[in-house]
Parts: sequence; C-alpha cells; structure tokens
Amino acid sequence: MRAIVIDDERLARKELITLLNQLESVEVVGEAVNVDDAKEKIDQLNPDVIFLDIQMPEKTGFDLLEELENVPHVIFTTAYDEYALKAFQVNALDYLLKPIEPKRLEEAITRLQSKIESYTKSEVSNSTINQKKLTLDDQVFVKDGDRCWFVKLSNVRLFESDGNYIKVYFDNFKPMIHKSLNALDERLDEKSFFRASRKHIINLGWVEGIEPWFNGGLVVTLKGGDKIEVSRRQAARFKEMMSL
Amino acid sequence: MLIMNREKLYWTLQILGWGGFAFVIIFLASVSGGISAVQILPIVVLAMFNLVSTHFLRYIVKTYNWFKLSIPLLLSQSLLAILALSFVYVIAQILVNVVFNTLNPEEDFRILVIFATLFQAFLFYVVWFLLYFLFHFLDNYNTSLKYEAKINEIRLNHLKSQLNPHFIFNALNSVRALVDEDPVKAKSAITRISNMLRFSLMMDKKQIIEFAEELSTVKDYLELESIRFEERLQIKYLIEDEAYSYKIPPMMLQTIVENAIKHGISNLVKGGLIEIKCREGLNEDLYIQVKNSGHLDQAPSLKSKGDEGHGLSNTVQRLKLIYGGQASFRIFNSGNQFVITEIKIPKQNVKFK
Repeated sequence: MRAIVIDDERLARKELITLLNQLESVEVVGEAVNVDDAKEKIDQLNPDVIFLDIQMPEKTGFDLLEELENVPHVIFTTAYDEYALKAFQVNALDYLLKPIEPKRLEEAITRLQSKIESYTKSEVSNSTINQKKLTLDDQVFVKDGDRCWFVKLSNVRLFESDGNYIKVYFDNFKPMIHKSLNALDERLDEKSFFRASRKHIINLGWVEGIEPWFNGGLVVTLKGGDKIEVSRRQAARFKEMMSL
Repeated sequence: MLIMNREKLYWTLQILGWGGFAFVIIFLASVSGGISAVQILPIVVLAMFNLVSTHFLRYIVKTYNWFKLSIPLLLSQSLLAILALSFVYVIAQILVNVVFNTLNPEEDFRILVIFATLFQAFLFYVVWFLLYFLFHFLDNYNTSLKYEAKINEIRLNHLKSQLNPHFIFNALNSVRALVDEDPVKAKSAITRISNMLRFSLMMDKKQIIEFAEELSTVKDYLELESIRFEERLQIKYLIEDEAYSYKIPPMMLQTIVENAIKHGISNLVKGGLIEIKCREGLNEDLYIQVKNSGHLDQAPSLKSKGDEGHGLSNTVQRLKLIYGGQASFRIFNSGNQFVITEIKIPKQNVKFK
C-alpha cells in the first residue's frame, strides 16, 4: 500500500513516517507540507492512502479533500480536534490521535487493507473498463458549512444543479458542492447514473416508478418520493436503457 | 428547605400579628373602661377573620403574580382589593355582632361609625400589605445579591483558560519524534511541558499571580511551540523591569499568545514573528502587547457568543470581573503584516478576590 504523509510540521511527519516504516504493508512514497503541495504529490504519485492532518496553514485537510478530483483513502491525523471530527456526520472515518499509538496505526492499516481488497473484488466483477469513472462503490467527499460527509455514490439518489452548485441528495441531507453538473456527468458511470435533464442526474438504482408526461417526456419517481422530470430528448434514451 | 422556612415564617407572623392585634384591642378596652367576657369573643373572631382574609389576599397576590406588575398597576389593583376587603370587614363585623348579640343598632349603623370602621380596616390592610411586600422585596434583594456573587465566582472560574489540549498533544507528538533525533532537546521539552502542566494545575485557585510567574510559563510555551514550528516561529521579548512589580491574572497573557500562534503563525505557510512587549504606563498601569504576524480580516467577536474563534471574549470578561472598568483590552492591525493585542492592567485595586 502506497502512502503519502501530509502535515505542516516536520517532526510530526517524521514521527509518523518512522512508525509507518516499521509496517511491511506500507510504503511511504512521499510527504507534503501543505494542501497545494499535497495536491501536486497526489496527482503525481497516485497513492492508495493519505495520512492527512486537519489543521494546516492557509488551507485545511478538508479543503484538500474538496479540491481533489480523485480522493484516495484517507486516514486523518489530529492532536485533539473534537470539533473537526464532529464535522463528520455519517461516515465515521478513520482517524488517528497524535501522538499516534503504533497499535492503533496497525489496526487502521489492517482495516483499510481489507476494505481495499473488497473494493478490487467488486471492481473485477463489475469489470469496469474505464477506471477513471466513478462507480457506485466510490465515495465522494461533501462539505457543507461545518458538516462533512464521505458518501458512497450508491446512496446518492439525485444530483440537482442550482446555479454554480450541485445539490447532492442522500439520506435526509442535501448539501451543496461547488461544481457544474456537466463536469460531474462526465465523471459518473453512465450505467448507474442518468442525466434526466439540464437540471438533474438520477441514480438508476433508486428509480421506483415511471410515468408518461406531456410532450413525450417522462416523470420518474425515486424511492423516497422525489419526482424528477425527464426531458423529451432524454426520454427516448432512458426508455432504451431501461428496456431489455 | 428555604421554601419550608418561608412558609413557616409567614404563618408565624400571621398568627403573632393578628393575635397581637386582638390582644392589644382587648388590653386597651380593659384599661379604658373594663371589658366583659362576652365582648372578648367577637374581637377574637374578627382577628381570625382578618387572618383568613389577608391569607386570601396573599393567595390572590401569589396566583396572579402581582410581584411582576408595573408599579401603577400594582398600586391601583392592591388599592381596589384592599377597599373591597375593608367593605367585607365592615359586614363581617356587623354579622359577628349579630351572632354574639352585641349589636347596638343605634350606635353601629350610624354612617360615621361605619366609615370609621371602614377606614380602620382599610388602614390595617394597607399596613399588612406594605409589610408583606416589604418583606418580600427585602428577601428577594438579598437572595439576588447572594446569587449574583455566586454567579460571578462561577463565571470567573469558568472563564479561566485551561491549557489548550490541542497544544499539549501536538507538543507531546513532537517530543516523541525528538527522542530519536535530539535526546537532549527532548528532555528539556519534557521539563517544559511538566512546568506548564504544574502551573496550570496550581494557578487554578488564584485570581492574580506575579507577572514573573506568568511570563516564565509563556516562555516555556513558546519554546515548545518553536520545537513544533521550527524556523517558522521567531520570538522576541521586550520587557521593562517595572513589569515585574505587577500582578496579573494567570493564563491571561498565555491565552493571548496562544491566540497569536493559532490565528497568526499557524495560518502562515512561512510562519512569522511573536513579540511580547511589557511597559509601565503613566498612571501606574501595565501595558502588555503581543504582536504577531498575520492580519485581522474582521474584528474578532469580543462578545461571549463567539464561542469558537478567538477565545478573547473570555479575556475581556475576566478583566471586567476582576478590575471593573480599570483594565482595558484592544486588538488591532498594525500595518498589513502584524496584529497587536494589548491589555492594560492597573497596579492594585483588585475588585474581586
């Protein structure tokens, strides 16, 4: 497992790298001192996991996650940051408290390894050709104000564009991300997500009912009750996709 | 417990008051011209009537919470109530006289006598009412004073800054790495951490301490932070000798310096400078300035609401509680590069011990 350590303090990086070097399964391929540095190194080295400090100058660890196109696995490292950790509403992410206990670190790595293995298995069975596309098993990082989520795409039923933002619908939440719907559409796997109209992308796994609408359009009902209009142009494609 | 006592007190006062009232009338009557046993009973019954009627008045006052009324409303309502009660008293007196066969129609039904009785009853009820409210207000005032003092104490204890746990754990983390890299430095860091922990445990009981004590803690703190930040943190002290003759609230300078690190240095990729300057003013007061690299985009919230953020509201409130209006606090940009936090502390006159 290839890892990058991101922390603004040299000694903190050194300490963590020393600990990681004692584990056989991990290879530290790089270290970064701030968010911009980290972004560059992640794009360059494409690590399996990043160890991420939350409090860093100018941009925080959360900012980094927001800026990344492809988020690798993340293990947060923090000294004492109830506030920041509370930000995570749904997925209790793995985090390590500094000074890091070697045993806890080992556990976190083991957990992550089994997670990665189950991922690769499902990827093989899905035989995803295009690795760059986001599948239902991928997680996206969403931050809205003080709250953050790592959401599995299979839990997202709907993306709705709203000005320069996209509302991400999952569970009872609909936080906004700063992105265009077109850009997102390109990155989503078209087998799982469908562009219903200029405003909406729906998760096909959540479709519950389909009714005809004016002008040859359709109205799709999602589990949970949201009703989304499919434009006439897309309706034909939709029927094609949903039929045998 | 307190409520029990107050209820007991009320009944004691009621019984003693109206009992005494009956006793005085009987005593005066017997002195002025002798009194027969037949005449005593109606007086006792009337006193009992007064006890019951004033108790009813109290019931009204309590259920409709007259304590909360505005003064004009309270005056008009109580006046009406007392007037009504006085009429009832007049009727009660006649009834009592009928029952005990002591009615003297020629005498007792004269308008003048009825008015006299009415006026007398009115006066008694007014006195009762005044006493009741006076007692109530005194009691209230007393408890609210005690309450205020207690609250202030709690508030002050609460405002005292504790060592920032974030700092402690980061420092320990750096020390862990130092153990391999530079054992001598690691040892001295451990000593500084224990100094700070000891200080923060001991100063808990004190409202003010020697300036020197606080400064040495701040020095320990900055030494530890410079292990973390390495070349990103420069430190400068400009301390006048006079400063050492002052006493200051514990952990106050420490909090300000911590803020300077948190919002200044740690937000800057390249780091910056912390400068601590202490000098005596003209009026026997101490000016403590902490200057740090950085910039204030907006004035930090000094009201207690901004819980997150600068933690400076605590400092402002503490200064106010300890020194009244004699201390002051400012935070401002100094050019584009620096932020200055300044407190002014008077030499003596600690308001709160």
